[in-house]
Amino acid sequence: MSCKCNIIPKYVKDILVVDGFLDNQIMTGSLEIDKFFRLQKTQRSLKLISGFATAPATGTAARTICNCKNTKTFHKHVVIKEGGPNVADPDANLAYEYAGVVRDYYKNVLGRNSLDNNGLNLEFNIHYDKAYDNAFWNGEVMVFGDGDGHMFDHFVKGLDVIGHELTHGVVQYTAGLTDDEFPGTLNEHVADVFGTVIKQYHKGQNAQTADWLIGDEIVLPAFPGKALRSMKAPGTAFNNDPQPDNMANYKPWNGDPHLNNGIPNRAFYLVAAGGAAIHGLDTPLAGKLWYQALLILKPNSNFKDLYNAVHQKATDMATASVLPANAAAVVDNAFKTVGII
Amino acid sequence: MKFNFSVTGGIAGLTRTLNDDADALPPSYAKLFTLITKVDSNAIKPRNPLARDMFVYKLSFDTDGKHTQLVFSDDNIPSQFEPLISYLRQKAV
Repeated sequence: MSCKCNIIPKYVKDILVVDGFLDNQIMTGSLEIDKFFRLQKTQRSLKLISGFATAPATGTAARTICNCKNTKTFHKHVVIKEGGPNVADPDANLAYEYAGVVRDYYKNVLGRNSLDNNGLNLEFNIHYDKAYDNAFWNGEVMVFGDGDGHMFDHFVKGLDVIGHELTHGVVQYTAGLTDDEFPGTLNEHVADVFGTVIKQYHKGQNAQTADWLIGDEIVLPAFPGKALRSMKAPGTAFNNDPQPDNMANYKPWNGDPHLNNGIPNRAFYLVAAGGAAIHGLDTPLAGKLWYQALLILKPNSNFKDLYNAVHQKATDMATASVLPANAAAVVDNAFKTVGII
Repeated sequence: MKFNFSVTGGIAGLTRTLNDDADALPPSYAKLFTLITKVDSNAIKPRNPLARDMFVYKLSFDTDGKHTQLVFSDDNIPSQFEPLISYLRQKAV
């Protein structure tokens, strides 16, 4: 059930927009601003409404690593705080390091101050539950399991996994993509994009030298494949990988937003790496392009909306000489290849 | 009592299933299974719509000729049943 009430007076919206506080995509109309505030319902939002002259930081983008001790309890056992020393638990040290890599990528490359662009502190909960083969974003914090030890290793070992989960937080505070079929799939796509972009950034790779695999660092020998997903060749990451790489093979919606994200994932790969007759932008510029596109997506955006956003931003960024003059043509080639346009 | 259990979603997007008989579960879990069959599916609290990549657990069984399916996410499993769901998750393949 969705709330139809308009909780923010127009003058407050005007002030927020004039102050340049809100992200671009929610400056475009009152509906999006209302949606943003309905979704967040955070103390920060309440402070804004009551004291709208300034935008108080929600934090200092500080990292906190908590140990769930193989239970489902969050927050309780803090093992590392921002600036603290390494500890005996290598997972805690790795989570702290990788959280910093992702945070610093967003800050230094994209100019984004943490997930909410306002310094939101980052809490990682590791050693969640027993033999838990997963990592997730719960709307506020990151959670990582240790895997079963046969098919899956500790999920904190994958920088792309950590980049993926933190990016769900970024999406929450920007486009706010819902978990319906197409926006949900785009949410997982954007998370994969920045998971791999950040991994390549950290490893000093480019579009040609990267493996374009998601989750290759957390699968063990019993796993029937090399990774969870391949962005370069969707459908080839493991035995019977169901991911399509083209709209012609789009799978009927089964509730899993990861199923069809191979299609936009391959479009991103093609924009970065290029195709048979066209040079790509390489991963760093493609990442910047996708981030700008994310800022103008809406909660219910679909694949065509993604194309329109990427094409528009490619044109704008080429005009500003941030991207090569043929950037929009590279985008068109990629989205045509995967059948989105 | 026969039951079907599945785990879907998560960052991997894989599906794992378990088809078993509650009578074959270890006693402590069999007891919890008896209790979980009495849960009103309408009373399960909604999952957090902002969460992403959580597992989705579906538990199906028949009681007195009535088919029931309970659906949980990682954030809305009633606490008393967390051990049972965790056990079934680890048994699912």
